[in-house]
Amino acid sequence: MKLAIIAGLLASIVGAQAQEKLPVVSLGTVLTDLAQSVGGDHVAITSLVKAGQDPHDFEPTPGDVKAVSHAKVVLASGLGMESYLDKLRQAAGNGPTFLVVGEKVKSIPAPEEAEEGHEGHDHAGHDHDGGLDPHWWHSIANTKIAVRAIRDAFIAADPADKAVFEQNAKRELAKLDELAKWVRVEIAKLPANKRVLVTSHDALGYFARDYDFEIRPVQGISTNDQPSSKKVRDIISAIKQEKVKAIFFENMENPKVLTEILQETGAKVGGVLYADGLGQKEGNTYDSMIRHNVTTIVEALQ
Amino acid sequence: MDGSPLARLVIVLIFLGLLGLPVIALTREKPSAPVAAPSPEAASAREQKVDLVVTLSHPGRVEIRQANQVVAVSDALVSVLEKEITLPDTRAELTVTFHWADGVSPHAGRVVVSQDGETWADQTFWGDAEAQDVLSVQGPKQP
Repeated sequence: MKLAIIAGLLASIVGAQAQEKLPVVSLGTVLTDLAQSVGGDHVAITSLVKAGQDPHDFEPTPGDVKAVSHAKVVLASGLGMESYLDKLRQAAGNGPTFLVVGEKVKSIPAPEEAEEGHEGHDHAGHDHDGGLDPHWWHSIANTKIAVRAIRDAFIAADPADKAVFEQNAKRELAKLDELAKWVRVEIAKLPANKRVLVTSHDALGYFARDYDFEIRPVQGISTNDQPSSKKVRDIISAIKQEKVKAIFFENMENPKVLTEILQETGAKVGGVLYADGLGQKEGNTYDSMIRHNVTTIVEALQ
Repeated sequence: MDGSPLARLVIVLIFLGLLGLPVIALTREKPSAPVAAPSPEAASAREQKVDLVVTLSHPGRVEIRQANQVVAVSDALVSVLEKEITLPDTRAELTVTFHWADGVSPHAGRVVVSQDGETWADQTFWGDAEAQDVLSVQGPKQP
């Protein structure tokens, strides 16, 4: 009788351990979505940066540091997106494994404007790591690299669930291939001379590289800084010369400059693009974010 | 300083005016050089007539678009579609759409773009009832 009770207790302990989820902390909304797809029910993800939150403004709290120290895997975008990363790593100690996805992807140089305009490679609150653009997820090819890296990190931390992570990652990669095909077909509707993106925040460099767009960032509209009158004149001149039909925004914190540019050029507001991460309602998954951005761009520039 | 106050004032004003000239020259907004829009002749000079050959594994319908404009389409079920089309440049993207209704799976459709016998693009697309993707034409191979 005693033996049976002990055996039962042991079995329940082993069962509980088998069902224990892999604790993961994510420092980016795109990473959270990808990690959930790869990990499924076998991971418990704490997303420190919430959907709709500006990752440039995020600073971890002592409570966040505690969550990180209890995690097995910490997912970071890298390339300078998380200016606090080194300190967080030190504070977390030897417990979690940090996967810095930006170190794995094919990166591109940071926008020149940011390099010239901000000392110390600081751009809208984050440090560009060696002058590289941290918004790697706007390339689906990079996102596929991220999925594979997350899969491998999960398997290393939880080998027992290897088959699940592999299967989930395979499914996610197939979905990304479908998404990439859809983007190709949509973008092909735009002739080469219409592929000019005037944006309020130069975060779409990877997208521009993949689909042959030219980016004209309007620095200052999305920030509280007033762009110089010369800068505004240059932007107006460029928009007129290139007959740009629409301007895209991340948000509109400087309507005075926006109104001036729209009045002078006759361009229209193309729409709001998700540049720094996922949205709260529309664009709340990686797939829907990309589809929203591409649809907005194609409809406005066609 | 001798002389009438009026003469001295004129001299001072002339002096100040001379000093101001370089400042005006430096701060005046220079008219930007007009950017010439590409002329129709220049645009047509870049246009390329190319041969398009589409081959289907089973008879089906084909539609080829360039910048959302139809450049080739089959009116009926076809196994092969051949047409000379005009591209805006040596580089272009063609949206290729196949439709099959015979229930066979999978299907394949091959699209070849060439000029004077030199292949510029050659790609096979796979699908079931429909296949849609983009063929990227890169122009002649660089020597």
